[in-house]
Amino acid sequence: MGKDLTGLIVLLLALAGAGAAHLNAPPTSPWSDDELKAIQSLSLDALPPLPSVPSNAVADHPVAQRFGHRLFFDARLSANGAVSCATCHQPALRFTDGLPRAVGLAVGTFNTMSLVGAAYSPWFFWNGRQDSLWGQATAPLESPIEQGVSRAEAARLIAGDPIYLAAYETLFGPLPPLPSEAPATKQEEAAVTKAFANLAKAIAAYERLLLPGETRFDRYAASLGRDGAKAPDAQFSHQEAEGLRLFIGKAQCINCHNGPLFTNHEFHNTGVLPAIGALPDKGRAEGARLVLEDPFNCFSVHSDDPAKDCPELRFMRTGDDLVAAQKTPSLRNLEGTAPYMHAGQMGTLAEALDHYNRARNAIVGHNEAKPLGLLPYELKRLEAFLNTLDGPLATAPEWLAPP
Amino acid sequence: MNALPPLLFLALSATLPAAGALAAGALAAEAWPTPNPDNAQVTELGRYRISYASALEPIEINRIHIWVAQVMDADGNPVEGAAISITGGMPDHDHGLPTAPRATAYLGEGRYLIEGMKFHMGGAWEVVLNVKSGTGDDALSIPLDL
Repeated sequence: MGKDLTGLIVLLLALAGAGAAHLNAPPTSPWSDDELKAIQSLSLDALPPLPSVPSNAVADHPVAQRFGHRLFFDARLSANGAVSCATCHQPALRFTDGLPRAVGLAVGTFNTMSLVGAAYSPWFFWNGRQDSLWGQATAPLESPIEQGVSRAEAARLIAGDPIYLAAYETLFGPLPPLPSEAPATKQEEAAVTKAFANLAKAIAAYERLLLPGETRFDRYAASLGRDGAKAPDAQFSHQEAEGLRLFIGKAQCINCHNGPLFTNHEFHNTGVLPAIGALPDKGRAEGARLVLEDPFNCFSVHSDDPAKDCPELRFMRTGDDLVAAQKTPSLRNLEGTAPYMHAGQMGTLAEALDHYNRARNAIVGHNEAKPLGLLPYELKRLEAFLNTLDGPLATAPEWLAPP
Repeated sequence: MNALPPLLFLALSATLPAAGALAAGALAAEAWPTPNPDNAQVTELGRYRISYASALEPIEINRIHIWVAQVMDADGNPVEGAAISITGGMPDHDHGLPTAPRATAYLGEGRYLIEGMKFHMGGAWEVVLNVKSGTGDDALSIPLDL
């Protein structure tokens, strides 16, 4: 018995000693080294400078930014005088429109993609059928269901507006004489198309200014430091941190939603059903074909890159196995950008998370995602984390309103 | 982070898209990454020894970049005029490479310029260099953990 008591005292002393040692130890990080690396890779601190655009010589020109800003909000660039770029890309909604499918002159086929951080992508539109921001800007202008202006009408608007004409000629030199009707000769057509491409390059210069700003997640990532030794930001709840752990781990979201913009800018078939009543979209299989044919692509005469190096286009993957693959959207600023998916099929984040958790067979092609088997509380944690990715844009306020 | 070394950028800018096989003399040889023959790996059937170097080191996801692969025969002689094709993907994810990389130029001494390399996810990748020449067909599978 006495021996037992001695043993107990020794054990208690040992425990007390261990407790004291624990109190003196630095706080341990809630994250493993691999998790920390993943978290830092998603942080805005990891965002590189904007990529240069050899195909657009005025991409960073201040006159082009101001000119593009005016053009972006100008509804005269539409067949009915009522639709501008900003009709679908509304600053208050993170440059989306809150609708399932875009509505310009008519209801479109696709959900409006945000322009925030778009300048980092090598591909534009859900199927990547354009390879530059300025090439992208040409398409809605001409589309009969979006803005529906001809290249000649757009060029004549520049010629007839003294502010536009002055900006145009500062950037691109004299505007050639324009036909009063549709272009009748090859020379007229070339002049009109060149002016139209230049106008799109100015719009792109403005759009390059639309960049994501710091969010609660970014502040949390910064609070962890590179080595995880600092005290984590207390504003980030346990629920949100556990959602982040799922995002970079078991839920595999980071596979496609990677990097500081939460997108790999690539194309994936994740078995999203077509909008009700719509045929399945061909996705990247069609987009890859269209971008090669596009008159404003990186190889085109309108590209300002004399070398026409165009590595993304030259080594682009094509083929039918990309059928129904759509571009990975950014997950920053989800709050203002619902509904989600390429035709706005899902109204809430909970629906989108349920979709990936089930990962049913695709009706066209094959679903790259696998069922996750997450429990309801885990899906709620993921949703809580996704809601920490909202923040004000890192863009001066004057650019976020009409000029 | 996304800026290529200036020399390499100049050399890339000078590469014409449709020029096909370029004369090695026209290229700024010092700008290409240099494979280390000491790290050569033997192909599946033992016909070649291949070493490679990436212009992006360490390799990062979501950035298109170039590799140089040096192909030697089993006796250590450089293999000229081989047809090199590049395949690969993520074995665990059941998908291939996001791009269609190609060998675009012979740089001499068994070295081949490979353009269009890109990886769009972190995790386990496999890049397969397939070699066809008079020596026979063979392939080297390169595992990468990104």
